[in-house]
Amino acid sequence: MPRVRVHSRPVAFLPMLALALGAGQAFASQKEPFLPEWLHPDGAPLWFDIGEVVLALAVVVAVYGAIRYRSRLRPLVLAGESRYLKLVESAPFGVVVHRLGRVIYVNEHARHLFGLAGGAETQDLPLGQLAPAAEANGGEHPFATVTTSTTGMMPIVRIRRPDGSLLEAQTLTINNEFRGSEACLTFVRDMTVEMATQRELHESRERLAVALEAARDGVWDLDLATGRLGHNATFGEIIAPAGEAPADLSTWRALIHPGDRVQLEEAIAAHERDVTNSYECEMRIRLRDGSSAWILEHGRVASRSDSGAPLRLVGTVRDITIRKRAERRLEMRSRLAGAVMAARGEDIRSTIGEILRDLLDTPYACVGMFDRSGRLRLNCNCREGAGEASGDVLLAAEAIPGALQQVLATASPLVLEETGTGPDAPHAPLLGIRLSSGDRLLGLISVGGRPGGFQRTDAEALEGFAEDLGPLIRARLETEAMDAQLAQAQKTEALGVLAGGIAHDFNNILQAVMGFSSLARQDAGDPARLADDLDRVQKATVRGHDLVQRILQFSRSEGPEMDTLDPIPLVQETARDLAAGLPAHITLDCRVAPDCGRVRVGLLPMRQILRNLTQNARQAMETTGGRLTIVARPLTIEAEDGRFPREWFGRDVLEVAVADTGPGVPEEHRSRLFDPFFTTREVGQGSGLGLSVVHGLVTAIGGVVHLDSPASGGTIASVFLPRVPLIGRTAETDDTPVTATAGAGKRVLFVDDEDEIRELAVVLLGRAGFVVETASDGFAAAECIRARPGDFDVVVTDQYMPGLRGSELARRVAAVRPGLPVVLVTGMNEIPESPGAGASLFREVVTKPFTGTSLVLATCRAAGVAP
Amino acid sequence: MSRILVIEDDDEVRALLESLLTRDGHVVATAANGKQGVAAFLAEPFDLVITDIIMPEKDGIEAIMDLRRGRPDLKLIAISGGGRAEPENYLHSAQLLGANRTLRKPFTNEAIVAAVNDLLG
Repeated sequence: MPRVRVHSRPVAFLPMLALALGAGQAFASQKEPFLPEWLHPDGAPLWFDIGEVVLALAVVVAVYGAIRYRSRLRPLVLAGESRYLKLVESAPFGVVVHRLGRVIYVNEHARHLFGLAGGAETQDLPLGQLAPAAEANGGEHPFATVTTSTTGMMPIVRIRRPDGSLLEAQTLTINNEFRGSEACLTFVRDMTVEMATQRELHESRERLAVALEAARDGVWDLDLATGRLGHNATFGEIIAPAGEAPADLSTWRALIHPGDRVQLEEAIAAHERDVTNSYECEMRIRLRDGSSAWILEHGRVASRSDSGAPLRLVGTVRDITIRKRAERRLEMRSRLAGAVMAARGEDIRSTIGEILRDLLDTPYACVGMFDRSGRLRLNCNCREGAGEASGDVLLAAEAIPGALQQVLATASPLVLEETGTGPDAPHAPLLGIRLSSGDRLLGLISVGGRPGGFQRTDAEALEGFAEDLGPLIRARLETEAMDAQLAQAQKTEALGVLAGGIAHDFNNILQAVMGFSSLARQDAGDPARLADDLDRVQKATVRGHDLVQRILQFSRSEGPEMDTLDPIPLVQETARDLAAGLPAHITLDCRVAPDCGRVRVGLLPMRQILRNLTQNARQAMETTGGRLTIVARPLTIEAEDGRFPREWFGRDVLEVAVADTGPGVPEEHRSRLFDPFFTTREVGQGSGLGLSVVHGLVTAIGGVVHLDSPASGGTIASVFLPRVPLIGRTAETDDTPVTATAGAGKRVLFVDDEDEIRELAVVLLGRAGFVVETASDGFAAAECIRARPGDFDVVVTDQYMPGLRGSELARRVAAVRPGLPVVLVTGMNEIPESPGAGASLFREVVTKPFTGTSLVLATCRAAGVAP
Repeated sequence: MSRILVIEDDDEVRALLESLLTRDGHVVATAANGKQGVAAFLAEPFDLVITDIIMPEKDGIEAIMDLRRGRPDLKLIAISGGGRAEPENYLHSAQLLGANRTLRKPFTNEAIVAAVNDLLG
């Protein structure tokens, strides 16, 4: 252990020296001659004082010992000094050793700090040259001053490096020995980065303060234990502009709008549970003047107890009233625009009234608009329970209540504390403003009945509302005028399209009529050919009639004729027709249940429904090919089948479904499938009326259409029609034989204003064995019955005639001779007035143009004779 | 005796033309749409074709284009009762594509017979 040896040697040497000194002293005190006299230097007998000799010997020994010790100690000392230097050299701070202003030594770190090159000579360099102080320091170099501070604060000096950069350093200078002589040691610690950071921190604090000031943020600090509230001046300016700012929690919270308190408490609670880093809440506060302001409160828990309970909340408040008002106005404006554009007709005023009430939080709102004749159409809109129902009134100029007259007369918002008395008097206090756009006075809006009255901010809000509303209303009025024209144009266009689809068919019909009737003239001498020609003409006219029926069914809201029908022959006929024209790649599968019952639907609409459905299915597979399936079957609707209204559950229906295996209906087209004229086909391939006609027809006869495109592909269109119990009447066709004596001499009064029709009826009914009288108008017929009530068994009348109509005639007949059957002949495909009333008035209905058979059969039934 | 092909989807009009032209002394074949018509035309020779314009499967305009191809001497009559557009619009297209005559429905028996005989004259 070298260290122990270094220390043990001087320690061992000391007792040795003490021993030698002690022995010498002891000898000297004896004063006895110790050496012979001849050894005496001045010839006198050599006399040695024995004590001196001992002392001298001791000194010799000691000197020898010291020399010896020193020669052994020197390497140790040198080693220690080298270690010390090494330590200084590699210290993590700069060390500069100097004496009398001149550098003796600079360590590695200091060289680096002062920007000295590795081998640069520093010996004897003036301190000012090594480290030029950036600022004067009383003439003396800062390193030269021995630090006297006992507080541990080391001064900061600024030194300019040779490259011009600035070094900020903390220094400590002490007096010490260096390499055996007195010197000053200056320790230098680089503080450049720390100082920069500190400055930055300071600046950011400054900036924050400036920012808070600029943002007009109020800063607060809440002690949760005591409820004491500290804050800056801005806080007071925001929360209590004209009064004293709250100093505790409860006073502050009391200022918050009751409707917003819960929201704030929830936000704080969530934050305190540590769900959020901070909380933010926008809320309204009540100001001293009664108005309200919007603030944004932002806060967080600043300290917590050991158990984690929050002790202190700090945060800011910001006045966001202007922003909120702007937001609200923007929101209102878009709501208004949407409402004004979307509202239909009379709804517009009540919709605006609701928005207005909402905006100003009042129980009563009133919206008035002038109509073309200068009357004010007023809608008063009251919140439920406020004592007055909402409703529209139309006021002539002189009937407008005085309070509203005042509002109309003033350009700016008006507050009226008294609005007069009487049921028409608007609710007081009232805040109103007139509604105008440009120089056009459109009407007025007002709110009222708010218990607290109205403030300046309410008036501003109402003014903004009126400013937004005026142009919207004006635009709408102008649009309405244009819409009326446009609607007419669209109707015309739609009719044109409809007409176009029909024109094609109709021209073909006309072609057949013209052509075959012309041939008939040539064939007059050849009965067989003539009959064939006339058959064709008749067939064409029946088609023409079908076409007219179709147009009527589409254009009229009333339902198609209500006969009952066995659907089976019709489904089979449709399948037959279809099969004849199907291309080879489409196969047909027709499955008809043996008994489908009867449905209350006319032959023509049913045929039309079937044709349109099959046509669509066929077209869906035009390119791909596939299988077309027609199914007709009786069905009982099971409860909870979502395709049907509740009242259908348990009902017996007929289902006619047409399925194809085509590509199905794309999702985007499904909602439009039943639109008139909607088609995915090219122009000329179909009128686009197909499914809409089906939908219209089926709905009119109380049925349901269901369209399904299963994922497996294809489309299934199903029509469900209520089945009706059979009432013993069979479907009649022109083939039903009528015997020449069927009429059995029953007396018929036939009423029609057209001569040809009367003549035809006389022939047709006469052939069937009826006795026919005619009348050319309703009054004449009524007079006939009144004069001779017992002379007739049946009255057959046209509906539309000049003078008395068929339905009125039937009423008069019923009055004179109750129970006398009346048969109605109508070309309009409807029973006049309500079907119920019509059903009781008429025993039978025959549609025009009638065939011989239909007229005779109906008359037979009405007269109670077998055909 | 000329061979005439009538392409018309309407049963009655087709029957009328067939009857009318047969009486006038022509041999008449019929087809119910453009596709059938073109197939029939390729199967046997015809001197004249009367075609409707708006038909399923293949319309008259397409049919005329097919028929004209390789038979510049063929006589063609287009007939139409219109649809979404006036008959003239369709007939004008037919004329541009090579119909020798066009007739707007309804036409008289005399008009069609005259047109046929004129072209075959």
